[in-house]
Amino acid sequence: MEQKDRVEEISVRHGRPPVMAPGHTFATITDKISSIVLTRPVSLGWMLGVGFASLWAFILLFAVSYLFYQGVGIWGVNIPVAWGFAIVNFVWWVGIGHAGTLISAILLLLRQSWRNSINRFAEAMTLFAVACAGMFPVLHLGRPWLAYWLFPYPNTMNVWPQFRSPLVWDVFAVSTYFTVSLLFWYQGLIPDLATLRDRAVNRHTRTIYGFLAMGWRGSARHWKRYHTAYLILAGLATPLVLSVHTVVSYDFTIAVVPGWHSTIFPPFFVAGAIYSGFAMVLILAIPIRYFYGLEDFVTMRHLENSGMIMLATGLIVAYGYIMEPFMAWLSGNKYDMYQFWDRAHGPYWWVFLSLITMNVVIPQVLWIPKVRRNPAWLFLISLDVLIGMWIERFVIVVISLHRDFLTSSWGMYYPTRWDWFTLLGTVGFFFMCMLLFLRVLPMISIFELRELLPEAEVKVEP
Amino acid sequence: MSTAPRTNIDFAAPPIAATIQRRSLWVGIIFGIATIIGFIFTPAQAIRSYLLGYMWWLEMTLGCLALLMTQFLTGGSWGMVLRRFFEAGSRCLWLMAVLFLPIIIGMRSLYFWTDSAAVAKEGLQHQAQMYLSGPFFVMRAVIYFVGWGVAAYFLTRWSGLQDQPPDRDFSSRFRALSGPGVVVYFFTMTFASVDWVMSLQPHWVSTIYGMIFVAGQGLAGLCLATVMAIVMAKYEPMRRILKPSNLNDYGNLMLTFIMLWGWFTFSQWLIDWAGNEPDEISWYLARLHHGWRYVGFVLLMFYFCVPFLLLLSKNLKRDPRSLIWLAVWMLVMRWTDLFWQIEPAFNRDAFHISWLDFVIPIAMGGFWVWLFYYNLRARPLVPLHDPRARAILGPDID
Repeated sequence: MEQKDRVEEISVRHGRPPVMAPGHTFATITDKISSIVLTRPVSLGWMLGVGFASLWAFILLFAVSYLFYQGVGIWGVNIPVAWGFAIVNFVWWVGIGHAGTLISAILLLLRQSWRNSINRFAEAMTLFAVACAGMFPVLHLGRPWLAYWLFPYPNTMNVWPQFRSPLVWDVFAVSTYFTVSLLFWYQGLIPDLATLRDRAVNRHTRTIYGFLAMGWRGSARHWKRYHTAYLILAGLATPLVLSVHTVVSYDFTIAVVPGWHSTIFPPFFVAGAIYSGFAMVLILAIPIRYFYGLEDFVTMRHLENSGMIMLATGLIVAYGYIMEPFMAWLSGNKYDMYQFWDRAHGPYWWVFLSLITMNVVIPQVLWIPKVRRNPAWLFLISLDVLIGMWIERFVIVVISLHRDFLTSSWGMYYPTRWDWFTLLGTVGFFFMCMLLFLRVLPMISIFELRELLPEAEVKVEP
Repeated sequence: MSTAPRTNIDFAAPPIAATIQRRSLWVGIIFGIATIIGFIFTPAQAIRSYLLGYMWWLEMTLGCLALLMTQFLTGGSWGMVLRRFFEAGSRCLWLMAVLFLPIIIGMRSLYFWTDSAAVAKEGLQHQAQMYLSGPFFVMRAVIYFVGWGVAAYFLTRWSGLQDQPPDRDFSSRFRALSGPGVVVYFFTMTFASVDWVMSLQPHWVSTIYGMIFVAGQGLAGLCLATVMAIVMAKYEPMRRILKPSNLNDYGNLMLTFIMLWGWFTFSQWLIDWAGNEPDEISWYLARLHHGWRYVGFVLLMFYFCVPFLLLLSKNLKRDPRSLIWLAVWMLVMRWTDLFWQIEPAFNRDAFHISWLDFVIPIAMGGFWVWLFYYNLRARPLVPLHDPRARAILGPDID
C-alpha cells in the first residue's frame, strides 16, 4: 500500500471523512459527471436560477449603458471619496478569484489530492470573478472607450502610461492573471472534453466537443506532454496568487493616505482574498453537491478543509486588523490614529462594527469541528464572510478617504441606486455564467477524479 | 493496531551525536570566555553583538517550535521525519529564556528609550514612551516565554509518551494545542520583534515587521533541522528514514520561506520608498547608504536571487551534500539580515562590524547545539509508537 493511502486510512479511521466515497470505479465516475452535461434533462430549478441571474445581468447591462450615456456622475463618487463602489467591487471580485488559482495550482504542486474534486468549478469561478472585477476599473475611468491608453503602445499623441503608478501595474497584473487562469482551465478541460466527445450521441454535440478537445486521443505520449505542460502552467499560476492581490494592495499603500499606507497590506490582502475566495467556493460547492447528487465526490472532507483554510486566512486578516491600529498608536502619528478612531467612532461606526463581527467574531465558530462538518453552518458562515470581506473593502476605500488630512475637505459618501445595480448586476452575471458552465462543461474534473482510485496507481515492475 | 516490537534497528541517535555534543560544548566554553573578555573591555559593543546572536539563535529555537506545530496541523512525511529535530530545538527554549537575562540587565545600553534624557532629546512620541517602559518590557517578555514554553513543554512531553508501547495516536491533542499555539506564536513573536529589535529605532514603525520575523524564523528552523538531519543521515537510523523525496520537500519549503521573505521585505521597502515620509524613510536611509547598502545588496543577491535560482533545481534539492551547504548558507544569510536590521541603529553614518558580532553568536551556538544534541539523544529519532509514524515511514521502521 502506498504511503498516502496508509495515512488516508488512519485519518478515516479516526473520524475524518474520506476524499471520495468508497465503491466507485472509472466507469461510475465518468458516467456520473458526464451525464450531467450530456443526458440529464434541464431542470426547472436550473431554469429559474438562470432566469433570475440573467435578469440581474440585464440590469447590469442597463446600468452600464446609462453610465456610458450619462457619465460617472450617476454614481455616488465625488471629492473626497473619488473611489467608491467601483474600486470596492473590483478588489472584492479579484479577491474571490484567488481561491480558484490556489486550489488549481498551489494545491496541485503540494500534491493535495482532495483538490481534484473542486478545482474545475473553482477555476471557472476564478475566470468569472476576474471578468466581473475587470469591468470596474474600466467603468470607473469616466471615458471607458479610452481604456486602451493604459497599455504602452506607440502612438502619435505622446501618451505613455506612468509606470510608477500602481494602477498601470494593475493592468498587467490582472490581464496576466486572466490569461494564465484561462489557459490553465482550458488545458485542464481537454481530456474531459474528449471524454464528452466520445460519449456524445448527438452529432452537433460531438462536433463541438471534438473541436474543443483539439484531437486528444489519450495516448501515453499525450499524457506525458500534458502533465509537463500542466505543471509548468501551475508553476506560472502560483506566483500570481500572491502577485495579483499584492499589486492591488499597492493601489492603496503607495499613497500616503492614512488607513492605506500600511506595509502589511500585501499579505493582508492576499489572505483576505483567499478567505473570501474559499467562502465563494463553499457557497457554490454546497448547493452543487446537493442538487446534482455529488456528495460522493465533493465530500465533507472538502468542506471541512475549506473551512479550515477560511479559519486560517481569517486569522491572518484579524492579525492585520490588530496590527494596523497598534502601529498607528505606537507611531504617535495623529492622522493615522484619527483614522482608526474614526472607523470605530465616526459616522461609519456601524460599518466597522459589522466588519469586525462578520469577519472576525462569527468565523471563530470554525474552530469547532462539528461546525466545520455541517454544510448548513458552513454555507451561512461563508455568506457572512463574503459580505464581511466586501465591507472590509468599503472600510478601506470609503472610510479612509472620507476624512483625511484637511478637515475642510471632509465629506460623506452615499452610494446611489446605480452603484447598487452595478454591484448586484455583476453578482447576477457571475451566477449566470456559473449556471451555464454547470450545464455545458464537466463541473468536476473527470480524469483527475479517476486518478484518486487505487487502480489508477502506476505500478513499476522491478 | 499492532503493538508488536519493531525490528532490531536501534532508533537512538548514533554515537556521532555525542561527539558533536561534546565538541560544541567546548566551542561554547572557549568562545564564551572570549565573550566575557569582550564584555569587560567593550561592553557597549558586546551587548549589541549579544542581541544579534540572541535573535539569531532564538529564531532557530522558535522556528523549530513553529514548524513542530505546523507539521502537527498539516501532517505529511516532511514533518514526521524532522519531528524529533524540531522537538530537540524547541526544548532549547529554556536556555533562550536564561540567555535573555543579560538583555534585561544591559537594556540601558541597547535601547535609548530607557534613558529619559535621551528621550527628551530625541523627542520620542508619548505612546511609544508608554509602551516602551522597562517594567512593561520585562513583563511582556515573561508572557512571551510562558506562551512559547507551554506549547513546547506539552507538545514534546506528549510526543515523548509515544516512545513506549502501546501505540497511541495523540494527533487530536497535538492539533488541539498546535492550532491555538500557532496563533499565539504569531502574535507574541510580532510583539517580541517590536520590543526587542524594532524599538532600537522607535520612531519607525512597520505593520509587516512581525511577519518578516516569522518568515525568517521559519527558514532558520527549517534549515537548522535539515542540516542536523543530513548530518545524522550518514548513520543509521536516519540513513534509512531520510529520503531524497524528503530533501526535495525541504528544498521546496526553503524556497517558499525565501520567497515569503523577499515578498515581505520588498513590499516594506517599496511602500516606505514610495511614501517617502520622514519617519519611515529614515530607517532605510540608514541602511541603504554608506557601507550598509552593500550588506543590503548581499541580502538581495544571496538571500533571495541566487538561492531562488538554485532551489529550482530538483537535482540540487535531492542531493544531501548540496542541500546541507545551501541550508548552512541560508543560516548565514539569516545572521546577515539580523545584522543589517540591528547594527545600523547604532552606526547610522558608517559601516561597522566587530569581532564580537562573530564571537558571541558562536559562543551562544556552542551551548545551544550542546543542548540540542542532549535533547536529541534523549529520545529515539522517530516516535516509534505513533501510528502515524508507522503509516508514513512504513517499512523503514517496522
